[in-house]
Amino acid sequence: MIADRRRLAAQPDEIIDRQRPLTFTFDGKPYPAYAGDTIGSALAAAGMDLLSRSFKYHRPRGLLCCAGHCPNCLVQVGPEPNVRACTRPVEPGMSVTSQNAWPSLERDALSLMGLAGRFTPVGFYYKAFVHPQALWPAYEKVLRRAAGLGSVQYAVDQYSVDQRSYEQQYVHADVAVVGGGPAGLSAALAAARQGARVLLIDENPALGGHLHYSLPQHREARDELIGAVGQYSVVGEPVVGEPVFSRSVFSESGVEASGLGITVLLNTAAIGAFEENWLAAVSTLPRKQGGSATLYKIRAGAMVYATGAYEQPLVFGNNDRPGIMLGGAVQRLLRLYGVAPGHRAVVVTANDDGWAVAADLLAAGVEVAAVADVRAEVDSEQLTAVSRTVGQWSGARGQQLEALWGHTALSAGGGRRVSNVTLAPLDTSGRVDAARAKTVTCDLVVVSVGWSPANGLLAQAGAPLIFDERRMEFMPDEQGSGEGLERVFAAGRVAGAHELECELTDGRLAGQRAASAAGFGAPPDVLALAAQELSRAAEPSRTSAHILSPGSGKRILCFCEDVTDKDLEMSIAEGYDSIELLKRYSTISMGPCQGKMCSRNTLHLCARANGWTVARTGTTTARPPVTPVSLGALAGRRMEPVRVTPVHEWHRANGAKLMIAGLWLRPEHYGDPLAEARAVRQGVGLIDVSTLGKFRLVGPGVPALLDRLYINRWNNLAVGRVHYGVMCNDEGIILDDGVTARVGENEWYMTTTSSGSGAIFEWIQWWLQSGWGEGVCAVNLSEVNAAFNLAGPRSREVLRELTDADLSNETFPYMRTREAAVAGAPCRLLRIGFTGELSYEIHCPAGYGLHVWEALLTAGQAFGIRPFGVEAQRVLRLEKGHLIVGQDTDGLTDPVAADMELTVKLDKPDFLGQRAITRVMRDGARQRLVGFKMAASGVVPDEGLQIVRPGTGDWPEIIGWITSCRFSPTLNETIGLCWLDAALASRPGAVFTIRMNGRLEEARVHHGPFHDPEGVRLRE
Amino acid sequence: MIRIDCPNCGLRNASEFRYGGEYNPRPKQPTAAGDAEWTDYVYMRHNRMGVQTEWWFHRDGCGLWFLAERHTRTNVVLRTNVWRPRDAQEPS
Amino acid sequence: MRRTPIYDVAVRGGATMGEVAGWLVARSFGRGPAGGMPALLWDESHWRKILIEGRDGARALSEIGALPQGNVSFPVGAGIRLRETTIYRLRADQLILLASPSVADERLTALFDIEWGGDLSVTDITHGQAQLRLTGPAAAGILSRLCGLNLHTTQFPTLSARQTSVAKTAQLIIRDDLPGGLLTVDDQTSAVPSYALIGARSLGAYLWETLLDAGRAFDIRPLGSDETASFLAPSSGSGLSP
Repeated sequence: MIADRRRLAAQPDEIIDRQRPLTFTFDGKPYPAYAGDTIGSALAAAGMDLLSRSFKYHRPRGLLCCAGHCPNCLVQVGPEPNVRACTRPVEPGMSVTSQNAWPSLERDALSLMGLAGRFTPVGFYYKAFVHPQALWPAYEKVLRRAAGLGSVQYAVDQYSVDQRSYEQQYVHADVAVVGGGPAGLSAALAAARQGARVLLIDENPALGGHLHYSLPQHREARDELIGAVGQYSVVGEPVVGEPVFSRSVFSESGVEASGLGITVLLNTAAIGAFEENWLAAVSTLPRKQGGSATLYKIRAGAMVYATGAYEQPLVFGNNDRPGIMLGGAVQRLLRLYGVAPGHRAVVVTANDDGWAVAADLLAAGVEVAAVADVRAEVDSEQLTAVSRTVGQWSGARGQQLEALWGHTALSAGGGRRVSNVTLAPLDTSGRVDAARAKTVTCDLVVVSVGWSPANGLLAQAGAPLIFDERRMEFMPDEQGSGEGLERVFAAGRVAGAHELECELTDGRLAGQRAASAAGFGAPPDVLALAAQELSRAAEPSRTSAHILSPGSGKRILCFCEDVTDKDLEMSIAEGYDSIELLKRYSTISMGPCQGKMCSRNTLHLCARANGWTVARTGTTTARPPVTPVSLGALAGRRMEPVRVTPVHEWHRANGAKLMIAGLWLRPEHYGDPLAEARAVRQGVGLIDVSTLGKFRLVGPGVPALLDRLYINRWNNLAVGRVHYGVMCNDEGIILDDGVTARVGENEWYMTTTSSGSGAIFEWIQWWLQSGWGEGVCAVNLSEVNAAFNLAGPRSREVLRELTDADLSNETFPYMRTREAAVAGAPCRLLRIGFTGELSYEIHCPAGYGLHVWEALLTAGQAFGIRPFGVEAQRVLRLEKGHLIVGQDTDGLTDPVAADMELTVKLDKPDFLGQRAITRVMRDGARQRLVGFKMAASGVVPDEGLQIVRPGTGDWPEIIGWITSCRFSPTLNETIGLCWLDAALASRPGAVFTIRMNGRLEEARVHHGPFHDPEGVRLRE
Repeated sequence: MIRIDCPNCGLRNASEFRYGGEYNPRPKQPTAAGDAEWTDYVYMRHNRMGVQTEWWFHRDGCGLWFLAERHTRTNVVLRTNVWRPRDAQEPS
Repeated sequence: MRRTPIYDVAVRGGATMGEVAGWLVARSFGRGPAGGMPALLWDESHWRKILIEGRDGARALSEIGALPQGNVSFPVGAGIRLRETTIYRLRADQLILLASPSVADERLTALFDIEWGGDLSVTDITHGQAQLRLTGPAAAGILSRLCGLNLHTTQFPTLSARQTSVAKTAQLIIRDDLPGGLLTVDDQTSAVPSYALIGARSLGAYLWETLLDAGRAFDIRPLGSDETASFLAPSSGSGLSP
């Protein structure tokens, strides 16, 4: 095992538990760690500086931000790619591997890419791999290997993706606060004190933000704020919040603050802000917490964004060497994890923050060789205090700390770890004087030159951002307006408040304003707001205009995509001078960090290269996700509603091949569809048609309504009679068909196709609710009733076994309906015939469904009954020449072309489609739906095949297409329906040709039903 | 996600609703309407950039069809109400 | 014999089936006592569900004594309990009446004899709807994983109804809390949150399994009618007499 030789003695603010040591592996080697460590902190403690290889040049990379923002520490954990080592808590036995390195991280063959750098300029993918296009798959394979970021594995083991559960949860709050640092905590408390239910989310495992690791004097404020939010443990189990309303019993780990309605979600990163304060956030808990990622869909009355700021890197030669870290990273390692990130440090800074880091390093016993401050000597109150501390510490240890005012880093030396840094003075115009540079030996370079506000979410929420020349940062515009902005607030560093007092006041005021906007309490008074404005304006700028030092070596601007300042210059020279184009062409800010480490520097360099102001250059559009999110978390729980009929389990148990129809699962057949069809023609069959739409229409207004909805006539239909109807819209297009029965003077029972059931009910509701509802109540019975079609010449004999009702043809003829008890269940019978045989559609309350189905089959045994599926039904209806709406018709089919002219009753005063149908009746149809028989009965053309007329030219003329075609077991011929040129279609027996796999097959036009054209069997 | 104020159920996520198209009242006397008027009704849509009156259906909720005034660029729903007979007279 | 939509999934889930009021329902899942459990799920699909459509619905109900006099114009979403039935207003022109399957109330029969005045219809939709009851302190937590509705008590109190999307299906959610002390020994005062999900029968089995899956982290337990009978005494006044 590798020893953790960089681990310091216990630190007062550390969040590791030294009583709980554990072991994990990185690239197969075992490493020690403590509970509370991240993968990154444990590797740093063991002196493992090299964590990854860069995307394009395979340059060595180590910890840079230590805050989950940059791409440098992306590793693979088990099957999970692209895990940020610096924030993922380490677990016992965890297997961590490096990404994007081959054969190993230490000796990466592809690091030679760096030497070929001048042959692979920006945009080289677009230029080099375009031609020939056929080779792209081969190129892609190589490129993916060279530039991959981890791999997705599908293996099933304890860390398997298959076993991870992804959850989604809706959360409602009066005020939601993003960010649990000082401003966020202060905002949450202020809003809660005004009576609002507050949701506080933070991506870290602990509340407090920078108070945990910045200045030691912040300790008191931290304890007070966190104490106020609730009892709360820093070491050990992360605190998991749930919405207040659902946690009353399960609060052993939930936080419900001391009488204040604050719910805390930790380890939860906000990924996107959307309209009406709709916020998406993802919680990635360690696996011992249940192993799931949860996507929270948060709706808040008002929002406070206290998202802080990202510390920004400096662009200088080899500025990406492991051992070059941002100030915040060093402080986190020192204070939270008790890790000394080096032995001899050089600090490069442009603000007081860098000096504070120097003090921390000295306090931890790390030698600080030099502090290079970009500024000419300054005298601020805080700096005096800090540099006094620095002086005291270094003096007490007899160290020589060199304070270099007006200096910057020019370039770094070293291979897999920084070994020295060259510092050079800046002249008054900010130019680097390389001639007077000097090189200092070190193994740690701390960069603390400025901040970029984390305003991605604010921008998504619609807040206007304006560039503040003095601060050198983009600030939310208090005067700005936009839709819903009166309920969006910013506080703390994202709004330019860096000093603790200022941050706390900022938070408190934002919390009060948010609570008030959500309807709780009064807003803070105008004077307090004005005073705060002043104190923010009084803060010194922390962000330097010094961004680039032209030292030797690659100067990395975008760490994710390995874009250098030279690439940027070249892109601009090629004409990509707009910031949005520059981003797309150079891929800057399009990698895993999404611009957190590069957007700001790019923007400034782009402005300079163009000779524009930053304000004119503008920013790129902030889009979700702000932080990376797994697709599994976005997809969430697997929810695929499936509808089943009351007989579903019977179908399954009896060998049905199920098919999906809409949301329904229906039996396509039970093994032999042709035998099923034959059974219906010769004996009796039973099909489950519970999926049909079934509506109950009640009231004196129903006949008039039906006359308007259908193209047929209804008002003279007698009670007890059934009628086939076709519905069109005002374009004259067929929407649906089905039978409707008048079951009482004022009561009707309508059926629709299975696929049209939902849409037709909505269609009818629409007409009812927009003026045609007089005297009509419509209730959807589609789910209330199961329905079965008992079909075949022997169906009457079967049904007789189960009912006392008189089924004789005289009392219950074709197209009639009646009520009857079947096998003891109250049923409605409709004598109709889609299949072309004597048949009864039996509708019964769904709870009786299985009972009636089984009773029918039992009674039918003596008559050779067979259950039949959708496929047999398709064959049977085709033999009768019946069309299926949606199968044989499409969005352009009118009733005239579909051979339903006789159904249309044009003399009604008004119906949907009347004008359009009147016109096609006058003009005639160009094509018609017509039956056909194949010349060769063994040939069954697929649906959709074209009907062609061989012409004189190269291409035959297309004159129609096939919509349905089956081999008919009754006729022993192949029959079908097709759309055909109207002239041809009007001549029975006319021959036409179908193009099939390059051959032409002959078919003949057929008019009317293929089977029993007189319809005798239906009426027997 | 935007919310829509169902006149019956109150503010709900837009995913509960089905869009029903621009408000486009059918001429009272279809046979009496001129060809131009009828063609407008059947085929022509305004596709406005601005506030538009449109149909929405609370499909996962109460089953109400109602009219909403929505700004097509900002998605802000200014007003919703159930259809009343006099709406048929107002031009949309 | 009538079957509820949960019949097959209950059998697969190891339930003992039996007859209740003419329905084959799950009698017992045999997973131990329900007391103190964070979340419970049981099937109430065999409950009577009667839909009354039309603007005159409430007045007609009050005339036959199914609604208290003077309570005719209660607001949308609110519910009224009268003996063993509850009535909720779903829309200005729509009411739903819920009753336990064993209630033989002459008023229920009288309902279907109401003279239709053209704008009034009464339809028994019992067979068309699955009715699943999710109960326990964790009920709202489980529901909030499947449903975007604000479930906070101030927004959705007991004895009220909301129609919304649950697990991508349209559901009518009825909140009807159980009295405190029924399920928890330690807390006699606060009511136990309880939600009935009423939706399409064909989706009942899917919803049952989805609720059990979403509730797994809360140790959700399915119950049969014998198991619920142990704590749902007719005298509880909850209207939940089995």
